[in-house]
Formats: sequence, C-alpha cells, structure tokens
Amino acid sequence: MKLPRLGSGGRPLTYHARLEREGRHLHATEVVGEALQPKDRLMIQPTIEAGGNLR
Amino acid sequence: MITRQPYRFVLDLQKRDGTSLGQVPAAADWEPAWEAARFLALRRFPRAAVGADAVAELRPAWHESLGQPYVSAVEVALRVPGAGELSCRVPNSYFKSLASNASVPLVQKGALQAGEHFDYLVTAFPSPPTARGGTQPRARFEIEEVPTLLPLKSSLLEDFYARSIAVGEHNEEDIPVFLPQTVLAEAEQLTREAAGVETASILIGHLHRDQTAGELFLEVAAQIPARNSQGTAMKVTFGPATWDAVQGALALRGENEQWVGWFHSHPAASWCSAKCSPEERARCPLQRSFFSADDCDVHRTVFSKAFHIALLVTNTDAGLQRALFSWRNG
Repeated sequence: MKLPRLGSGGRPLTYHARLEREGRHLHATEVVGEALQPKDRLMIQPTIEAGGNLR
Repeated sequence: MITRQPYRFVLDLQKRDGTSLGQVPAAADWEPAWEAARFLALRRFPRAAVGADAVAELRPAWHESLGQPYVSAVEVALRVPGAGELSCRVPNSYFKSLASNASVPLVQKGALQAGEHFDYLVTAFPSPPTARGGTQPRARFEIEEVPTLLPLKSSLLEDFYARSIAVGEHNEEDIPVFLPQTVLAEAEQLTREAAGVETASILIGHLHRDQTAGELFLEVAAQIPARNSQGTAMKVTFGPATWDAVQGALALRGENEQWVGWFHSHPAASWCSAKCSPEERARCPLQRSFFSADDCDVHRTVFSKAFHIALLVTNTDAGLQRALFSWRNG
C-alpha cells in the first residue's frame, strides 16, 4: 500500500483505519468480512512523532 | 504504475581505514524514488497521466572508477505510454539510514565503536529469477491501485513572482514554492506561544501549472494548527484525531485545497543545557535547523507526495530561524 512498516530508526509504525461510512476508527479486533461493506472507503492514518532527537 | 527491480542492492560497509565490516542487503523503501519519477513525469509530460500501464525500473549507474558491481547512483527509468521516457537519479545517500541501522549490531559486537564514523559503498547484483509455483499464503483480500488525478490549478507563474521575495538557495530541480507572510508569521507566533514545547500545523494550498511554460509550482494558502497533537519538549505526536480535525477544517473551508506540507517547531533554546556557555550553545548542533529521523518518518508517512514540503521554525538563543525542507530525487 506504499506505506512504510518501519520508521527510519527501525521502529514499527502504527496505523489506524478510519471507516468513513461510520465516522469511526476500526478496532484491532474487527475483521474485514464483518466490519466492511462493499464500496466502503477506509482512510489509513498513522500515529507518529516528529521531534528534535538528533539521531 | 508497474515497478521493476532487476537488481538487488547490497551495502558494503567499511571502517575509515578501509577494513571491511561486511555486506548487508539493502532492503530500501523505494516508494519515494518511484514517486520522484512519477512527479518528474507530471512536470515533463503535461498532457499525459502516469497510469497503471506506466513502467518504472530501477537501474544501477555503475561507479566510474570502481566499476561494476559498485554503484554511484540509482536511476529510476520511467516509461509513460503515449508520452515518452525519463529517468531521475537517486543518490547513494538514499541508503544512509539503512547503513546507519546496519551499524547497530556491529557496535554491539564491538566491530565498531559507538559514534565511530564508517563508510558504505553501494553494490548491485542481478535479482534472482522469481520463484515459480511457490506456496506463499494468499492474501485475504486484494489491493488495487486506483490512479487519482492530482488537482492542478492553471495560473501564471509570473504573477506569483511579481508579488514575492526570493528567500534561500535556489535549486533548479525544485519547484517554486510560495508561502504567504501571514503563514510564516503565524508559524512564528505558534512557536513563541508553545515556548519550550514543540508545536505543529498542517499546510494547505494548491499545486499550480504555469500557463506559459507548463512548469509546476506550489502555493501554500493557509495552515491549520494541529490542535489535537500532543507536544512535549522533544517531540510532537500526531494521531488519528489530528488528521480527522484537519480533514474537517478543509471541508469547512470549501476551497478545494489539498495538504501540501506541514510546519513544526524545535524549541532549541530549551533543549540546550543552562550549564553550557553562550559560546558552546551557539556551536551546539541542536541550535541549527535540522530534520530529525522522526521528522523524516512523518514526512515519509503522511507527506509522501514529491511536492510536499516541511517548514521548520527553530527557537534558538539568537532568535527564530526558518527552514524549508522538501523531497528531491527520492
């Protein structure tokens, strides 16, 4: 999906999936077959930090 | 866009005295390189779209003096049916973070001292033929690329130049970027208000194509403070609430604007130790404008289009310093 799995320091990156039809974020325990309907749009959003860490 | 990698890349690590530290495969994230070629095509071929039938390929540019298998750069060759071919040159610095990560176990094993400088050479070898009839597990669902047209406004570049002041160094590979004084003033005000804490905002605006020469340029129209982000002295955290709030604000504005970049601050004056002398603080690397590894992660993950920019305001002992960062050849 063209999204990196790891940050430049090798740490895993975290993403959330926002289900636009319901205006909410999917929970990690939800599965595609139950939570989604045909033509649903998901927005993948990262939780990520910017900072002044001189690495 | 179809992507091909007929070569695999390997880093040859060496100590400064030439002692070999071994080789490590370079599992690079090539998406920024593909995106650089895609954007170059958008600049060169105004009437063509880089669709699913475009073919991009990574090709090693062999090192002039060391020869094969050593590489001086990676060429991203892109063929756009009905438009033509182009290539962009990705420098070996693209592999720098991989080399840095590869050095960690070397330090743990004692082959390198912590903080010791080392060199890396990039080598390339033909990729092995794809294994056929493998038993790889099938994905539970398929992902299909849906090409989307980039919204472009048709405008006169000379009109923008006529009401602008050039700042900073000019590189011909970069597209012109126009930032209103109000956005800069707001960014500085946010930096002052945040004091010893990092703060951030999302820059919104338009990508334009010049009616005369066809060149692309970027206009920042406004910024939306990332109010749902969490700032501390050393970092600012963006989460889903941040992105939702920005999308909501964009919809409310109704100006058909797009995300064009982000701003964040570095409260450097607060980072430096009060025990350091003013001379030491002035020499401290923290007092300069720099893009950290974490900043690179934000830019790669959220602002991955080749035209996306990052405005940084550093609050130093000598006052506020502005710097603008952007993608260049991946």
